[in-house]
Amino acid sequence: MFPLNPRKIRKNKMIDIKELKTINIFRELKEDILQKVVSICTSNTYKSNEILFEYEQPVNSLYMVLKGGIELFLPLKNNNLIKVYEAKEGETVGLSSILPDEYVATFTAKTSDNNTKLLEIDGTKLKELFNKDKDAAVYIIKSILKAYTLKKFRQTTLFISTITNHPEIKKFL
Amino acid sequence: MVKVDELEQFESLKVFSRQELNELSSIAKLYIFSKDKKIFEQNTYLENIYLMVQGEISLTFEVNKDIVLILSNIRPGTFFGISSICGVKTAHNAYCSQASEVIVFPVKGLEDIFSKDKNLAYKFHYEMLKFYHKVTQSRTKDILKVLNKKEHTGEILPTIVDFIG
Repeated sequence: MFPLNPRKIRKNKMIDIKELKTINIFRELKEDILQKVVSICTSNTYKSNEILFEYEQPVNSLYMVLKGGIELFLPLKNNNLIKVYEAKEGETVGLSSILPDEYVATFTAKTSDNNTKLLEIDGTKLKELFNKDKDAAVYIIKSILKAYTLKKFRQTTLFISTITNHPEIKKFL
Repeated sequence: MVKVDELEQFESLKVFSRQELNELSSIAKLYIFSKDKKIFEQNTYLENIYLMVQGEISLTFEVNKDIVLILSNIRPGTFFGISSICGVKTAHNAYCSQASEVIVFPVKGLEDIFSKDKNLAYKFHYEMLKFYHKVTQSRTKDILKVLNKKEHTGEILPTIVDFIG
């Protein structure tokens, strides 16, 4: 359906902890845990419209936006993709990469801008870190749950506000 | 306290060993909530995480005093109130539309257990992450069904898609 080898413009394995701290899920984590994460984190720059992963396909990495964005799409029956969200700076996508193999992508993800800069963590390596260091694993998972829950909270509020102000729906309220 | 044999019946707890379930059972309590009981309110910090046993519980959002929207219904065997373990406010109310049985795990009790058993702490949080993903996947599939029906792809579409991102 789509090429699955996004063309990275530049690959730079050296990541600064300061960069990692700009990502919401790592903002409140302790330095010793961040050091462990930094060691398995890479930074890559992409052109726009590069596919990172596809709906219902396996995902290899967690992708975190440093600059630019990642657009999430759902595939309709007629093969058209409909955009449902754009992850901006500090946000993370690709949760299924750190779950067991049967967990697949809930969206198709593409880079939105030229020179989109992403931090990436190989899901297998993060799972290895989880198995070696349960303490770090709990902190990281809690932080991921917190970021996703806060995002859902904002979206629920936005959704409710949008639909209750929709002229067609207002007629029934 | 809830018996280990009872906890073992839940698919969502199958990954835990009998010893681990024994630890969880020591703090778990079974509650029977009457119809119309509000278990928790939106925009509050929760002190418990809940496992639905039977009955009917709806997650609702109160727009104002007159309008309450039902966002979803909790299925037996699923957790709700997950925001309690990551220290953020819940986005919705949990309301019993029928008398319901719920197993309640106090977060304080869980933290005490987790401080002594790191492996259980990890497994429990990882299960919550898997559960969160399943919920998102299920919601996405439901929304796709709606989007794929022509009659539902009118003006309301942008608001639906805003929600599921």
